[in-house]
Formats: sequence, C-alpha cells, structure tokens
Amino acid sequence: MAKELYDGIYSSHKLVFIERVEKNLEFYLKNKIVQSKRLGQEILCIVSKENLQDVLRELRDNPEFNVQILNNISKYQSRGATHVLINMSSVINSFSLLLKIELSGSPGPSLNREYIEIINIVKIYFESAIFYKERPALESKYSDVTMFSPFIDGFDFLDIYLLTNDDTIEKAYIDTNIARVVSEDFYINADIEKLLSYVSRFDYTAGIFPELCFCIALEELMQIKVQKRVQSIRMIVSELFRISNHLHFIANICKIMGNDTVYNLALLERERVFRVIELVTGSRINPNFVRIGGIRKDLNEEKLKNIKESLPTLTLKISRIETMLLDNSIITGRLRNIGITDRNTALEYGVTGPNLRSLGIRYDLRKNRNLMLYKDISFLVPLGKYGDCLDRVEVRFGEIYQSIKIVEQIAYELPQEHIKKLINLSELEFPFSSMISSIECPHGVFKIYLEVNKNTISNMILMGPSRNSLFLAEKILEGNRLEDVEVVLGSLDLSCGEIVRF
Amino acid sequence: MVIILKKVIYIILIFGANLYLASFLTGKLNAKMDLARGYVATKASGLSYPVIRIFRFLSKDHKVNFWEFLIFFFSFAIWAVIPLSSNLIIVDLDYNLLAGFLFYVIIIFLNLANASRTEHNYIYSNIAKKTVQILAFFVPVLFCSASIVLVNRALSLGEIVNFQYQYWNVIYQPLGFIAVFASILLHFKLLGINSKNPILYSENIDKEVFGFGRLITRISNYTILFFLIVILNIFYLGGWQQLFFVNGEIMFTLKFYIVFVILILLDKATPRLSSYDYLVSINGRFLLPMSAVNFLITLVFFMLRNIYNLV
Repeated sequence: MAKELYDGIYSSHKLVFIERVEKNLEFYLKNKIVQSKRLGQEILCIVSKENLQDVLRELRDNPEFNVQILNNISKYQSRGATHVLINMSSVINSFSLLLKIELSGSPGPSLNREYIEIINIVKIYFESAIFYKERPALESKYSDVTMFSPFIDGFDFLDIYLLTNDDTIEKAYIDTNIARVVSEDFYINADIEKLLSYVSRFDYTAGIFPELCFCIALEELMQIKVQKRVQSIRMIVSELFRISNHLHFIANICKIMGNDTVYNLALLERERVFRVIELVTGSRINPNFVRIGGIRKDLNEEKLKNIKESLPTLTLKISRIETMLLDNSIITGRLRNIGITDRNTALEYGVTGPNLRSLGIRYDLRKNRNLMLYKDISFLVPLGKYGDCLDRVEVRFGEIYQSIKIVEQIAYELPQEHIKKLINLSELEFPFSSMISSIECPHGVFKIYLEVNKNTISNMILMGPSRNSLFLAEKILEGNRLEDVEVVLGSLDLSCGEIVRF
Repeated sequence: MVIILKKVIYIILIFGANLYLASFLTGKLNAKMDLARGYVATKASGLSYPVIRIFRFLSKDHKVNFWEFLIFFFSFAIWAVIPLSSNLIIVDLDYNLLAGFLFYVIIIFLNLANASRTEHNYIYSNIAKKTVQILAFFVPVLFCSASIVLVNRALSLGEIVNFQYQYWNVIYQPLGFIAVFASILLHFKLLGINSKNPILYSENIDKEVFGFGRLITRISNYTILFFLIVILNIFYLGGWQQLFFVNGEIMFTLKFYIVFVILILLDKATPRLSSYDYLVSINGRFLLPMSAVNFLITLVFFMLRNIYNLV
C-alpha cells in the first residue's frame, strides 16, 4: 500500500506512463504519425513535414500530452538523408518525446529553406524556436554597449551586445561564436571504445554526466542489467560531481559580486570534494570512470572510509559558507528581485534543472524517471518560489545538502557484490540502431541521441541544458539593469562545454 | 630656499615610499587571497612587483594630455598644504584644512574632465556617477570636520594636532570617527584600489588611457586615499603627538599603516558594492544622519559652553 502511494506521488514507474502516452499517440495521431517507437525511456515519432503543424497543435493543446517544453531542435545527416530532430517534453505527464522529420530537398540552399520552414512552423507554438536558426546579430551600430569576454567576470566564452536606454537593457544578444569548436569530426564514425574517454569534456564542471548518459544509452540498447553495486558507485560519483559543480557555481557568483572570502572558502571545499573524486576515479575533471555495464574500478574499504569521513566536515563547512553568504544583507539585497522570469517563459525556453526548480516547478529526472537506484533512496527536491537570482542560489545550496544525504545513504549501505565484466568492447557489433538516454545533470536534463552502426558511432547529438539557459538569459536581461548582467548570467550556471558543441 | 627644497625632496620621497608600500601591500594581499593559482599570484606578491608595474605602464606609448598633467601636478601639490609632521609642510597656512579639501575636490573634478575625452558616452556617464558618489560620501566628512573645528576651535591642522596633547579627539567624537572611517572605506571601494573598479565597465577608461595616463590616474586615486587617512589620523588619532617615549613621527606612520591595513582587510572581507541604490541608501540612512547628529550635538555643546557659559 505504502509503495503504491509512494509511486503515486513520485511517478517513478515510468513504463506505465510511457505506455499510456504511446496509446494516446496512437489514438489521437494515428494518421499523422508515420511511425512511433520507444527508445529506452523516451518515444521517437517519425513525422512528415506536412503533418508537423497538426501534430504540434495536438501535442501542445491536448491535456493528455500537454507538451510545454521545447528542449532542442537539431539537424543531422544520416545514411545519405538529412533529418531534423525536435525534442520536447511535458512536466505534468512527465514524458519526453522526439519528433524526427526527414528533409526531402537536395543538399544546398533548398535544404536550408526547408529547415527554416520547419522552424517557422514550430515557432507558432514555441517562441524559443527562433534561436535554432541563424539570427541577425545586433550590430555595433544598433547596440550601444558591448561586453567582450575578457571583461565579463565569471565567463570567458561569450560576448554580449546590448541595446540600452540609460541604465536599463532594452535588447540583448549573446554571441558564443568565439567559443565554437569543430568537435563533430572526432566523434562521427569513431569507435565506441575510444569515444568513451572523450565524452566527459562536453561538461567540464561535471564530467561524469555525459559519460554516464552515453553508457546508459548503450546499456539500454543492449538490454544489459547493471549490478546494484555498480549503480550505487555511479550514483556516489555523480552526486559528488553535483556537489563540486554547485560549489563552483557558488564560487563564481561570489567572484562576480566581489566577495573574495566566501569565494576562496567555496573553492577550498570544492578542492575537498575533488580529492575524494580523485581518490575514487583517479582524475578530477575528466573522470573516464564509467564503462558500458560497469565501472573502471571498484571501491575498496579504504576509499569508502575516506568518503564517509569527508561528509560531516563537508556539511559543516558548506553550512558555514551558506551562512556567510546568505546572512549578508549586501549579497541578498543584490540577488533579490533580479533576473526574475515566469514559469511559462522558462518552460517554453526549455530550461530544466535547478533553474526551473527555482520557479517552484518540481521536475527532476531522479524522481520522475526510473533513473539508476534513486527510487530506493530518500531525498527531497529543493524548490524555489519567485525565480529570482537568490532563489537559484538557495536551490543549489539545498541540492548540495540533498546530494550529501544521498552519498551518505549509499556509502553506509553499499551492496556487497563481486563486480563482473559483462561485455567485451572489442567484440561488440551492433546492427544500425538508434537510442536516446537522458540524465539529470547539475545544469538540467542532459540528453544524448545516438546512432550506432557495427562498432562505431555514426551520429551523436548532445542536447545540453545550458544552451536553453543561455536563451533564457537573453530574455531575462531585457528590463534588467546593466550592473546586473554578470549576476544574472552567473545565477543561470552556464557550462561552456555544452554550449560549444552547437 | 635650501630648506624648502629639502622639504620638497623629503615629501616626494615619503609619498613615493608610501605609494610603493601601499601597492605592495595590496598586491601581496590579493596574491594571498587568490590562493596559489600559477604565476600571476606569485608575481603579484613579489617585492619588485610595484616597480615592474610602473615599467609596464611606461612601456606603452602614450601622449600626456593637459588634464593628466594637471592631475599629476595636483596629486603632488596637495602635500604642500597637508602637514606630515610638526614641521614638514611647505606652505603653512592658518586654514590649511580648507585648502586641503579644495585640492581634494579639484583632483576629483580633474579626473572627471579627463574621462570626458572618451568616445563612449556610457563610460563617461558611469564615471560621472562615480564622481557624484564620491562627493556624496565626502559630505559626512565635511560635517565631521566642522564638528572637529568647533571642538578644537582651529582651521589649521597643526593646531588641531596640538590640541590633542592630552586626549585624542576620538574620545570626544566617537560618532564622527565611525562616520569618517566608513566614508573612507567606501572611498576605498569606489576608487577600486584593492580590486577591480566597482562600477561596471568603468575600467574601460583605464584600457583607453593605458600607459603613463593610467599610472597618473592610479597615483591620483592613491593620493585621495592617503589624504583621507591623514585627515582621519590628524582629526581623531592625535596625529604626530608623542605617546610616552615613542617618537611622534613614528606614531604617525604606525597609525597610518594600521588604518590602511584595516581598510584593505575590510575591503576584502566585504563584497563589492556595485548597486547605486545601495550606495545611496548607505549614505542616506547611515553616514549622513550620523554625522549630522554628531555635528548638532557638538554645536549645542559649543553654544552652551562658549556663548551661554553653562558647561
């Protein structure tokens, strides 16, 4: 009885929900959708361009679907044809859906035209679709203030062009072109074995999450049942990375506001977490720890003891940092009522993670999905109320405490098993197949769409949450004051690694 | 003539040594605070760093303009009327307090005039706002100095020091001391001596006038700060009064550096203030009322004692 109640509150039994959504899709959109299939915990629908508008209308307006979030639109080439992937999700029904549209035009300008047509159709229902095509930049003659990356505190990968009226920003344009790296070459048609060590660089503040997402996708593809001990150790490492990322966020915010004392204290605590991470994984930034169906190295008693010993100190020190930061009226006065946004805008722009939770929307994949072993562990999802910068900082502090709680629970009840090697990577061979997997990383929902052929990855699309936060930043900045640009950007916790990819 | 020349050389040497020490101390503290993060931190904490920085400024080609020349001149000229010890003063006026304030205001306005050369209106408006803030924080200092003048009945700084032969003025005027100290701390923050300039992107002006011009603006910032600390020292902490057997000049230097180090530490311990509203509210709710109340109390006592002979 208690378990049923629990499942009712926390919709962790995802399969029931997905089955319901699949049935509804079949019922409402039978003639409009060419094919729909379940990939892992998500649904992929192949739609023709002519039916796209009807499908979107139904998905958006029908309460059975109630799709509010547009996560991502991306274009890719596969087996001689060009496809467009539209990733959307629903908070209320807690499911995620990918629409795949094949473009019929020949390569060149006609293909681009077709892509822009699709964007224009999506724009009717989701305002943020304009960000996925090339936008006219705010030229220097229309913008009166330009902030170049060396002069922005806390960020080195973006230039900001602003149109201002006295102190108030009227229009903002954020340019990330300076950080653009051609990274597609090294993972298209790359061996899975080699790629594993590369993936973590897509989020260098929390490197474990892209790896984890990548491996989960392949595990789902192979239908591997991962051992409990492996899952637990993965959770420990990922929660430690979450703590380290949030401490980095706090240090960044302090640096922006010139609070050097708390800045240094937060970095010292991050160092403490890094040492534990280094002990477990052997590396700090790019862990290269997760393997398909397993992990690189098991935890021994000594490491486990070290983790357990570091947790109480960490809790104490972080609570001191919180007191020093949030009991200071200068800091709270600076953060309060700045960078406010409303729920609908945030959802429409596809923001997930702590930025969305600071608005009071309870959307956390660790609770909403059957992700690893999170359903066996008791923890809370910290929520904000007003969605200003102060709320975003408070939510992150809350998440740090919850992460410590999770690590503590797992460390004291780690299943005693012998870790087995489940697969041999060099002998792997897949038929051509695709898979999606998503994970709750510290910035939001991190998603990977994979196309595998034989022993290589023929296509990989990374959908990082920071990009959506960046879109929202442009929206939020309008109406704010010039002095608050850095604080607003800092409070959104943008990770360069995810943004560079696009 | 030889005596005056000697005094000028002494004053320039003292000023230069203080500039070196102050920039060394700030650099050292910044480096300590920055943890051990590579060569920048180690470089900034070295003994020769302030000197190397001067060479770095000089290495850029820069034409000194009229305003910068005036700023440079007044940064040194202010020490002609401010005494650094009982006899180390070139122009000994009976009202050198007023002359010092005049020089201070002139330096601030010259900085504003220098900034007006920029092509970007935004930078200029920012610097103008900063100047207004600095002048607003100077108003409490004026109130407090008026109370000091009433207490000591003198406009000459030397006489104000002489008056404190028995007790320092901080005993009579604790409120005034707090107000002036807070005002200097806010000056410290606004001038951006310890870290980046608090007003966003106004450091772009520094980028524009990189080279010798930047060195001059830096010197003028330090001058303003030194002037205010010397004023605090003379007003409230006894100036060059001898303490038991310790020499007066040594006491003056000690007090100067104690105040300076406390200011650096307080500046580092508190976050950067970049909101105008907050700055205005500090001044309006805390500094101005406090100094005004202090002045009123002093005035009432002055009238009771000197006019009605009641106290």
